[in-house]
Amino acid sequence: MINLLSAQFYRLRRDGLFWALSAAALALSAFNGWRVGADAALYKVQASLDKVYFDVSPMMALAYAVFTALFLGAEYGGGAIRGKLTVGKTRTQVYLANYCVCLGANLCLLLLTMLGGLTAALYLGGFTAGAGKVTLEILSCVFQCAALTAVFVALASLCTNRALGSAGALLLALGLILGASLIYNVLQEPDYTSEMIITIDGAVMGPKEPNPHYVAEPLRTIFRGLLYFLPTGQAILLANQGLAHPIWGMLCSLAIALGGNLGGILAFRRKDLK
Amino acid sequence: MEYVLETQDLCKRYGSFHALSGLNMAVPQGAIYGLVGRNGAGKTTAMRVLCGLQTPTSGQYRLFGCPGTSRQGARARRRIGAVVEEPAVYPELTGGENLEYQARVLGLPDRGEARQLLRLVGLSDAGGKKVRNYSLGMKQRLGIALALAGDPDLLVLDEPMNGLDPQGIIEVRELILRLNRERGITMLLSSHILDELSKVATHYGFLDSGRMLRQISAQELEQTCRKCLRLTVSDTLALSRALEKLGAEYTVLSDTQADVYARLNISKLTKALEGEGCELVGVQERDESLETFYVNLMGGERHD
Repeated sequence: MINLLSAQFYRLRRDGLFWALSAAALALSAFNGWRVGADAALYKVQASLDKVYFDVSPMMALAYAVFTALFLGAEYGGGAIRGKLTVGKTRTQVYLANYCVCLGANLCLLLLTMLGGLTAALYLGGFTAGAGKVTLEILSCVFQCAALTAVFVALASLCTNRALGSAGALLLALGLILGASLIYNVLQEPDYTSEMIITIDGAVMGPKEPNPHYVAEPLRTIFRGLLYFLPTGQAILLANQGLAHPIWGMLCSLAIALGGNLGGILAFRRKDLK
Repeated sequence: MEYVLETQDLCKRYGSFHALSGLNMAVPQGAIYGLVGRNGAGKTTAMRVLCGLQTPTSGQYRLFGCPGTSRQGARARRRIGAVVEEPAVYPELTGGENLEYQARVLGLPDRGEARQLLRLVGLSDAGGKKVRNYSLGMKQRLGIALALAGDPDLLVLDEPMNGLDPQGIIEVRELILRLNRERGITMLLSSHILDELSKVATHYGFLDSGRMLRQISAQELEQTCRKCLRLTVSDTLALSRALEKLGAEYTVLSDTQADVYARLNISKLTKALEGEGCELVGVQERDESLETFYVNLMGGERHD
């Protein structure tokens, strides 16, 4: 296992895609932080670093998907995975080494994104929340990364076609982001709405009416649970300063990471390799 | 005889298709074992199963005496190097980096061995070039170098001559012979180029429809395929007496036929036979090669 990890990290160091994605993650998050901070300063908008720092966290799923699918796709593309199995490495060892190296790389992308996001601090100052809360939020991002990596590693390990695997991972990431965003928006619907009526005296609010788009219980609890369960849901909550129970989120991510890896290993062990 | 690899009733099924149907095979230590068969005969499937890439549906195999699917079998696999179908390489890495990678997988302390292996397979000058820019022959040779990285005792090469130019074929053939002679590596090869295979193999296994039709050593094959004159006579007893007098080596096939393994002067033979009161009915020159042996064995009627 140590040998496999040593070999995989050796390959990671020479992987052009990894360095390109790292540079892009750093540059884009730095630009985004600078832009948000500069806009807030220019338009005198009340903003703090806490509010904008996790803005890009939902999009990280896309970066994890692209990297994992292409990096592990090369194992099948060149048939290199056979080189490990024929010399007696077990499939479990190969799978776990793949997961570890992808987790390491994805955490590196996350770290660089977080570092880049600090450019917003030039305009907005430091975090206003306590160190404990910020630490929990950062840890939550780490757990989300672990969970999403497990899902994408499973997909890449079971799909031998690199192009198909990459497209599948991208679609899955988009689906997870859009699905979570949809749930979040539905949950944001108010229970009552009132129409604005324009009169000669100006605009007045009409009588309150029940909102037909409001999700009532018990569906509301299910949706809220789903939002906490999905790593992309947690990321959206975090970006909107709404992650009230980060520990629960982390436990959900841990469950996905463990379940994804276990399921992935079991399926990978049964897979015939060509 | 000690065997590094043995299979017993090995079966592999893909849905309703039987790729291997009770394969029995034994590869002696130090041999260059050539696996011969049509497309779809099960050669590559056998190699995939033996290399641990696929699990057999039923049956057993032993690697260096250990059951192949057991923990000991997995450890024994450490003594195997393989190139099954395409060489297992990372195209975005250079040849040298691929070898360094494999050395790390195997936990080899001496990573300077990469240079030696590149030299051994004739890729010293291309070690720094990305593998995606390699020709097919270079990839094939790099695959062999990677398979040799762990100093294996058994090398499994699937169609090692495939796609190589004549020079490449000669180089790979010489490399196979050198590794077998100098390092004592047992080889399991499959090839469609029977003429090439006959230049290196010490043993053959003829596969058809996932079954072993026949295993034969190169020596036995040579005996079977020796150049000879097939004589048809009225009486082989009389022929025997005549051939004894002429000092020729022969095998009696029936009451009227015999194979003679010598360059005979037909006039002298006719005279000798006349003296024995025997009539020479026909003479046929026979020169059976691996190819004709294979065609005779397989029947030659199917071309799938």
